[in-house]
Amino acid sequence: MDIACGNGGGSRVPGVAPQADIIFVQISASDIPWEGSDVVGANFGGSVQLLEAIEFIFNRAETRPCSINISLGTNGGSHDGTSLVEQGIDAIVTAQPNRAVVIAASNSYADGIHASGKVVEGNFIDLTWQIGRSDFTHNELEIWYDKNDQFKLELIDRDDNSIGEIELGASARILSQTNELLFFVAHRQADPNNGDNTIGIFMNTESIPSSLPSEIKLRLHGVAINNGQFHAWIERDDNGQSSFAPPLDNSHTLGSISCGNKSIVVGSYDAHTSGQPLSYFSSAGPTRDGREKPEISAPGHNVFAANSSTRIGVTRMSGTSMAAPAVTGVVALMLAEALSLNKNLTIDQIREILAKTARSNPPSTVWDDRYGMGRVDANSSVQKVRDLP
Amino acid sequence: MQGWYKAIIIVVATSFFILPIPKYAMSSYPHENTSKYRVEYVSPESSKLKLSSEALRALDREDFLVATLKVAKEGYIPTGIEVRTWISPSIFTANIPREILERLDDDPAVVSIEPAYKLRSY
Repeated sequence: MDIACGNGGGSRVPGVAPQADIIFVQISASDIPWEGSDVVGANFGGSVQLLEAIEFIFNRAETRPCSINISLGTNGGSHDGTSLVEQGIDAIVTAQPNRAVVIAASNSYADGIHASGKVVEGNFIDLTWQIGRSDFTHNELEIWYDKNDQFKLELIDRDDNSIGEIELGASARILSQTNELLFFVAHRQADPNNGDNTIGIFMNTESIPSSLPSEIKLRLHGVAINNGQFHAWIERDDNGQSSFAPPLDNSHTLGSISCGNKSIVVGSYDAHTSGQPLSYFSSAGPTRDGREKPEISAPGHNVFAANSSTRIGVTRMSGTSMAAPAVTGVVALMLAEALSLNKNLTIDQIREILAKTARSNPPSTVWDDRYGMGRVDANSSVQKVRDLP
Repeated sequence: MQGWYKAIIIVVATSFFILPIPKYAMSSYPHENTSKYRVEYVSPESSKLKLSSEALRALDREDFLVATLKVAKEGYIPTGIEVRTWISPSIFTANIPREILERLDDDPAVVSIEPAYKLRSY
């Protein structure tokens, strides 16, 4: 919050848009789980509460310009902007001008959570999912592939024994010798939002830990193939992240709500180091449908910001959560400038100005899969607003 | 010496055939299975429902599902659903009683259902 719009009273360094009004949103106590496994990590609420909070903030802002910062997400999802959260955000920011939603790209670049490949008809590709012997927490994996293809999933244990096969359209429970549920697998045909096929593998975290395999091979057989391309993501698990076996494909590691058509997604670089290198954790695009996201990047490495719980009133942190609010602040400045000039900015105009004014070298290309169109430039962005007819 | 080999071969061969065949090998499951796991096919969940571990838990334990819905007709609200917030004319958040999920799957005006899932900070 301090990075986007702090007044400098705590950290002695004001944020990017220090005169902005701030709206805090507290999720309803009735929506917070107070018992069971859902309690862990539930402080920020869920996808439904997020959409409701966004709608609430823009309603409260009424016709005033409003820029919302979101530093939340998971790893799974369709990664093509068709999830209902992403469709909802797109709908809200296009409903009227002077609205923007800025989202952190995610910090999962180096976590080994993505795999991709092309399956050939009559052949197969193996993915190895490493769960870890001491990882008894939440483990979940999604595979997405083209609606015109038909895969068959075969699960294989680490001794190379076939566990079972799940055809397109089928769901199955994988049980142990003692009839204990280990995994639930759903091979779903035609996702209603994009028509693509998807495979979900869900580990039963309440099963006896010793009966769960520490490594599982996912064999994707090409039954009928037109395209063959697939992408797989392992769901986020902060208490023990499982991963794919190397070699890793760290592309397409944007967060679950960071692939929308109208959101502004932000990567992180290190502004303290010569050459402004990328932060090792900053997730990479593009989206699964090939769109260029993240749009832009900002300093997110070793960033100081106000924190009242520390002795000196500031804390130093790294993450795309530190980068996104810098861009949120820049958008607030752009909207304030537009308001002062009696101009309205649509979300498309905001996105275009940020992209066109972004600094290069780095990146050395027009669009980089982690820097985006470049590094955010506050002065140029505001000037571009002034230059608008 | 030759007789000793024969004895071993006979013992090994016999033990292979008399080992108890696991119960699941006799199931209708067509794929040759290992001794550690068994596959049990079940009816697929609603085709309009986005599955996740959280959704599966909620379906198992809760009386209603907190979800985001997309409908084909602007402003349409399926009977039995409690709307929480309208996000756009065709997208809203809702509390959905578990018992009407099957009916929603058959409702052509319901496009998709995305159960609430936990979001974590970066």
